[in-house]
Amino acid sequence: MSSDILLRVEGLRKFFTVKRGFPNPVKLTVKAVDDVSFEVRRRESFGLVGESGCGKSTVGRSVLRLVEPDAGQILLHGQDILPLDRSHMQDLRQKMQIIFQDPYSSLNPRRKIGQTLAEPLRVHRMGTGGEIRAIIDRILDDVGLSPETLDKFPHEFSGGQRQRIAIARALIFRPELIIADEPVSALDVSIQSQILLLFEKLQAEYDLSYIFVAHDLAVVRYFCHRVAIMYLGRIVEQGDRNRLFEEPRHPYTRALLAASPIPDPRARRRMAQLEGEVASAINTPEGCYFHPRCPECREICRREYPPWHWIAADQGVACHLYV
Amino acid sequence: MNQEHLLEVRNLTTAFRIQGNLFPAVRGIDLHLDRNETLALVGESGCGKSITALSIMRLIPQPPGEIVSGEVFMKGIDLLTLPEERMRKIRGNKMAMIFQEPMTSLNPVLTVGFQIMEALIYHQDVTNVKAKELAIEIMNQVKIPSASRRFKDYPHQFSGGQRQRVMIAMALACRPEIILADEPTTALDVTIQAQILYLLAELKREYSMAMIFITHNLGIVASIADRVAVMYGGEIVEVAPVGDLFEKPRHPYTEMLLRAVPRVDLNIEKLSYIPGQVPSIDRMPPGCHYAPRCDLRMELCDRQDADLVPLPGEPAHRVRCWIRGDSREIQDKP
Repeated sequence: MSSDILLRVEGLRKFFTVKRGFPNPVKLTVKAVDDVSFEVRRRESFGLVGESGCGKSTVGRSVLRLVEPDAGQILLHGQDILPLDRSHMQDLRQKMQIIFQDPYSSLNPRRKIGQTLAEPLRVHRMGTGGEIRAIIDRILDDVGLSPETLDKFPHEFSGGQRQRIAIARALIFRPELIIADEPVSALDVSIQSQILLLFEKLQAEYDLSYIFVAHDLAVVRYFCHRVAIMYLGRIVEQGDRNRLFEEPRHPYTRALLAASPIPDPRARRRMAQLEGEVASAINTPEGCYFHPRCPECREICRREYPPWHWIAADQGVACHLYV
Repeated sequence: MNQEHLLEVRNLTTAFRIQGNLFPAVRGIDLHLDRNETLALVGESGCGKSITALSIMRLIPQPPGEIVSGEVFMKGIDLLTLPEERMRKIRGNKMAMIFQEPMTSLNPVLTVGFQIMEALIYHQDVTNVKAKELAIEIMNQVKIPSASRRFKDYPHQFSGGQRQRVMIAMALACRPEIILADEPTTALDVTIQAQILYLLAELKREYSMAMIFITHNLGIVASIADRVAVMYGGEIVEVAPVGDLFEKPRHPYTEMLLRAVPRVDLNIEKLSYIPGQVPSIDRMPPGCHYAPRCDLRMELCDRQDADLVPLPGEPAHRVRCWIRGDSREIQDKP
């Protein structure tokens, strides 16, 4: 069972300090990620879901140490990567890659795609020019791009094609884990499904695991095997996709599902009204962070943050209703 | 001219000049809107849905844009022939628009209260005191908490959802008969989106307004629209009552689009996809704009564009397709 686990994140925490106010700024703490634990299995797509500011992207970046976590453990194949030094970490990044929402801002506009794709292979001395070319040709074919792509610049491509280029770049070292941060949210529906299908195909061909950071629950339900729902820096519920979508337990998960529009007029219903807005991660409420908006708020919810509770082997929740 | 419809657009074509040549961004748009109705304009980026709305409002930047032909009748008056001063009396008064990105549409150096009042003072013969009173009233109606205190706040002091409420308040200040909402919830989180959609539906009912709602999200279409117009490559390819469109889509593009959307309420084994990509306006195919991506295409589709014609026995359901539309068309135009 445990050999099945590629990545385990334990008690991850990341607080940022920001200055607010003028002319006398005050230092404030943003609890971006607080006590987050989950695991990603081999060849699994693990979804991190939540609304803006919930910390889902920070979790994704922490796993690669693109932001340095304050506390916790990140175990890849059982080895904690947080104590590793720079050069070890650089080697490790071949195993873990990231894809961003907007591929345009992550591709160098003055470089031809061929140069962008070949550079990491040259830096790591992965072969002769001919060998490198062969690796790149193979990957281009895998992501559905023609060889002419190599002689073009990023601006010559549409959003969907640029995302394919970003995927090609992520695949160069044959990673085991790809962190995909909202990879399809900027794309049109017809292109979105092309890219999702490509991710699935590559998962099988390259034995990939994904951490899929997203806000669109419909996409997550289609694509992810297991899902964690985040609210204000914490995971409030996680579990198997089917259980989470069919028997959501946390009131926030239920509210998110009820607010997601369904493309079927027969399902038209008064869209569930969740009052209020997401609080800020600077002034997190006392007790359960969700209690000011929660329709099932009790006395204890105002005082104490609920402990994590596994309802079943594949579904857990942080909510006083289930303790 | 059809007096029955509140708004009727006929054969509207708006073109943009790119390197000296005019290319149509929307072509031959025919649509109408009745009182109390919500018409959804749905399509992917670049399909011309926003250009259609901006053309109706006569807000197309000119140059590079240009309304080449067509008529836009509002209660029998062709807006496209009105002098600009008269159009200004209609815009923001009888017909108002809500944009996607409130932060870029609100003036950051003016208080939100002033920006809501502005329309009232310009369009309606009211004093400043009265305008302020009305502005606070509408801020209450769009459920901005403690409206009279927030009247003096600036846009940056509001959250994204609250800013969109301010935009709605501005648009509704003069109680327009028609609202054009261009992706008003796209930048918002899903729980806030639900609040805004609910608010819009509620206000629309209360004020007996008609609404053109522009979106790319088929889930939103299903939950708010009465009728739907699907756009592709600058043309309307299918129009139908919302139930018909989702239950029996006829245009191959609509059909594929519906099968390519993941759903939050269902497990889908394998998503469908549409190969290729949307053509850009300077490289529009000569025939049917969707033909290069279409499974069903015939030789005729590459040569000539079909007309938007009603299905036999279903006058409200119209399709622009040689195969799925009225088959007599093919015989008429060999």
